[in-house]
Amino acid sequence: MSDTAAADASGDRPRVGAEATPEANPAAASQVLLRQWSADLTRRTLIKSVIAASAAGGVVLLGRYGSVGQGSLGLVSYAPPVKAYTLAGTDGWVSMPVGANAMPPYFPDSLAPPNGNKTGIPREDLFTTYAFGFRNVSQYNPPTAKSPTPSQVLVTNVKNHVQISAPLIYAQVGQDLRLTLFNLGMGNRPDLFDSHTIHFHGFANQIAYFDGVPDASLSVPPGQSLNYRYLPVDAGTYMYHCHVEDVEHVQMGMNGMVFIAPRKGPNYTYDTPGGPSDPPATSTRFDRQFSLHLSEIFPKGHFGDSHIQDTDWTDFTGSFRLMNGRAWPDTIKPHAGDYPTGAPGDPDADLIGTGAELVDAKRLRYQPLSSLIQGESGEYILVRISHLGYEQHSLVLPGLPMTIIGQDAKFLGANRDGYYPDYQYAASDPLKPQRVPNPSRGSIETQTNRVDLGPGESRDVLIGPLPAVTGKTVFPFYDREFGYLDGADSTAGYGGMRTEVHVYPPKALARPDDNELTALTGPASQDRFTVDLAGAQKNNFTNTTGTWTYADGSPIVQAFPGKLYRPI
Amino acid sequence: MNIQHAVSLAAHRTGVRRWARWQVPVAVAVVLAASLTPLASSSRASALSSRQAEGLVCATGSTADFQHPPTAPLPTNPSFVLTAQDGYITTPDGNSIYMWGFSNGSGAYQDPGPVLCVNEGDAVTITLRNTLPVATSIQFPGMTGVLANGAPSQPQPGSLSLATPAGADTGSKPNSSDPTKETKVTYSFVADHPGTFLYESGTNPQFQVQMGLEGAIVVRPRLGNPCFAAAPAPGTVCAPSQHVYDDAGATPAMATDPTSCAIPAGGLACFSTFNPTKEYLHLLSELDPMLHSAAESGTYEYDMTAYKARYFFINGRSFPDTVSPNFAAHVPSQPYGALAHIQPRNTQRYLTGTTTPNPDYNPDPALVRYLNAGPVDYPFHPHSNNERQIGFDAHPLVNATSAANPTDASVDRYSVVVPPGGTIETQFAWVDQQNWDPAKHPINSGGADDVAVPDQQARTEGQYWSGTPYLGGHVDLSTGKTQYNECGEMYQVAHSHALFQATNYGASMGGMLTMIRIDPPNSFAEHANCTTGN
Repeated sequence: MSDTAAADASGDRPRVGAEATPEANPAAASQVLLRQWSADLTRRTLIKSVIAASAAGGVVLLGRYGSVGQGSLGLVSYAPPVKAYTLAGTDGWVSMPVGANAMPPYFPDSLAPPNGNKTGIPREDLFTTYAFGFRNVSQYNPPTAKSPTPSQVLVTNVKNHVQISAPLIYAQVGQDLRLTLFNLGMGNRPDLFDSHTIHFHGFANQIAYFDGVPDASLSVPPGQSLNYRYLPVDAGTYMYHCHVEDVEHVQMGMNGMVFIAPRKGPNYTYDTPGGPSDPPATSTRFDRQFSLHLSEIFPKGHFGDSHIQDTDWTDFTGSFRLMNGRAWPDTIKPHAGDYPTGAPGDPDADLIGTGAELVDAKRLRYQPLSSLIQGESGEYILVRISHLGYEQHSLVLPGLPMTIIGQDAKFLGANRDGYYPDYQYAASDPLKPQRVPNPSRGSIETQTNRVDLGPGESRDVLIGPLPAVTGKTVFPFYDREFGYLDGADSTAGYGGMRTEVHVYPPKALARPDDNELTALTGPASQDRFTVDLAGAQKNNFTNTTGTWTYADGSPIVQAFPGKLYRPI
Repeated sequence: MNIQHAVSLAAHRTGVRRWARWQVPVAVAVVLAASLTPLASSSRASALSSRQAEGLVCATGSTADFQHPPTAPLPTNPSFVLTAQDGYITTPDGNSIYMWGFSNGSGAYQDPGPVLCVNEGDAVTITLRNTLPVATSIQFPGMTGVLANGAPSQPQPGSLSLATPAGADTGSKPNSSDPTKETKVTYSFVADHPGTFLYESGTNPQFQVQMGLEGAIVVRPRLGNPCFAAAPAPGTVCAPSQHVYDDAGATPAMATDPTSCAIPAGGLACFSTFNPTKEYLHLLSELDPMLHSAAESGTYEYDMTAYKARYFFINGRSFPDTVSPNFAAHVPSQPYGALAHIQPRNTQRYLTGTTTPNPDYNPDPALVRYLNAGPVDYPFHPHSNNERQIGFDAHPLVNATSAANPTDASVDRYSVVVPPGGTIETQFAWVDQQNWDPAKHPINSGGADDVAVPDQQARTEGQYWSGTPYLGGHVDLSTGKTQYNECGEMYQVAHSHALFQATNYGASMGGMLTMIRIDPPNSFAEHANCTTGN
């Protein structure tokens, strides 16, 4: 830890030469290992796993990785810290709420497999809904792989075991975000040899190659992989989704949130002036952050895909309305367990709970992200909201003060950036922010108790300061359309978009433990470093007093986005 | 309801969905090949090559048209004749749909109606000739003081009309009793503020507007038009303004100097400037073919509560027709394309250290005028770059609460939400922000060498792709793969993100979707192979 602080103080810049040593840069190390893993996967196991699907589809495609051997010229003086994810695209099964009305024959799906429960109640023992989606399989790189072998885990645990919403992905301005998309093929529909892509929705000035529109670039057939690379300069909340046969793949579940933290630090929303002593509406500082990624389920379309039926997508009607892939009352159930990185929401982590909790944990493990929001009196909570369903939603939060500080990954406050990205190449600082300041751009922030948004939009909502309470106090946060299922006599809100904000007295919630802080601030963390405007390495965290804090001195009360803490 | 038509429609739907699942790229290729109009290149061969191939096309008779600048003396007070008539449009999946619409004078049926471009202050006269089998009228949302035959235009008691309908003219009878005769009404108003306006049927509008009785009016500001100077010299050419609004603080000299707003550095004088050769119209709409069948059969038996839109349009076309040039021969009654076609923004006027003009100098943004003629919000998502929303319902997004110190309230959006009946102007530009360059900044630079382009057999190629990640690079796709890419340009889609609206009757990659074409800068060798479009 102290050597890190020393490096910061000396202002050393990371260099390509230094990155070549895996020990010196865990991100680079993981990249190297990733390549080896991919080769292993291709040669040995994937052949077996894909062969059946390939035979059915009439195509045998084997993975080739990095086979274009052009020399990497690279930038001599500059190499930003890499944040890398590996995503797998596949299909699988998920669960809508147990109390939701049936919609024969579409819901529940008659082909849905058991989920591992044995309660004797079909809705608790079976999944209900077929889905496509992404899984975060970064952990199956050799350093953190589970037994028996990484590639075998990938095939047995991930193929046909998709999750919705897609994994939460995040990086920071100044980092080099790399996504590897691996198309595992469809377990239930081996006849569907659909390609996949990642479209980073809202990334300004993207090139077509990394934009993920199959018609305008390329897409990934089953058994293959593609690498995406982003050098983000605009902080904010974005989305990602597959753009292949988009109306189908997005609705089937291949959508999720990606956000970019500002260079200023991971406890801020935007690169605006101001620090911890300034009003959060202008500094954009927060104590905890949560993500709500909205979507809907059109059961007829999901049924059609599992039963090999065509769907007229203009018939679309959202019957279930989801937050983070779950419908009320599942939205406030806990996250699935943690990834090895410490971030919550890994479907392959050990199940959490006993009794009824365990039943829900099994049922919802492929919808691993909770939508519960919590905080303590006086804190500021950032809620990032993104939407990749097809309907308008109006979310109301009675009882708590709320300011919309960002929209479509743009700060809305006074002195916000100008529009034009006038960036000229400079080898010494290729990531220098390039927005033209425009002092005449005024504030268009909104103070409200309601936020409405349509497909493809995002908002950054600052809730706070949270009011003084004497014990846990619950504030419902819900879609004004209430989201009842079609049909009579639904239980209130079943299947709809609804979650809760739980406010606790000060210091009533547990604090991140040492393991979490090590995962966040230690050598294995990809969240530790970014670069400053001059290209020098910048540590997001500091430990001058024996306790890890953010670089601005603010305490770390939540180690990872969306992380929930138990009351003490 | 025409039974035969319904049957063929149903059969057609099944076919669409069958091939759509597997064969979207092939289907696009087939449609494009059948139409013989892949992008702008074919416009050269078109019989209509003298016409403007891309961008917003002002109707004949407009007083504010960049493409055909009027000359002195100042033409003012334009008169248009709009003829309401019926016709057919075609959709990319092969359907043919009965429509009503406004044509220019005695011109052929077109969808949408002609774009009427006028200058602020013009007294505009529009004569509606109705040859439809039903009564109709025109509503001008956003315009005030609209007169019909000299009296305020208003709902007629006992009718379904929100505006004064066309009535018996001298020598004619209402055509509901005599279809050989037309009815007429003459509307007039003063275009008193600049912006983008919808015009649409004011009679039985829930039926008639989606039948196609809709169009756009563009009012250009006085600012920047030399003929609006205090005392224009005789012979002054009345070049239309390159601003969308009367930007506070802009001087007439500034407004006509193309370099003065290259880098808007303060104040709001350059709030709404744009590149006049890069002005685009996105008139968004939708329809339910069942309603159109009801009109075609003459029964009008259609239950509005059963309304379900199946086709979605930009300027009356669905993708891939949206990227065909204006006046493309294969869609004769849908004259307006929606392909935006730009080059990277570049604010360096001269080559470094010289007074030699920089061939890549391209400081001004493109402009898109959005109009929603449909009944629901359209969340329009432009890829490539966010767009700067500068105007809403023909008013600039300027906060003038403090008159002495107005502030820029424009919004940068990656989702431009156009509400029903609303109009929005956006600016956009694109710059290769990451400076990806095969020599100086390859995509697999800076770290492990693992951001490689997959081999041909390990990828699925798109027909619009250049074959490389780099702007201006061009590599052949796999043998046998159709490639529309001409010169290493990039294509970025722009579409409704209620994704069922980006379909042709449920078949993805269609409907309310178009493309933004980004050509390499002029200094790139490959640029010589680019068609300019205009």
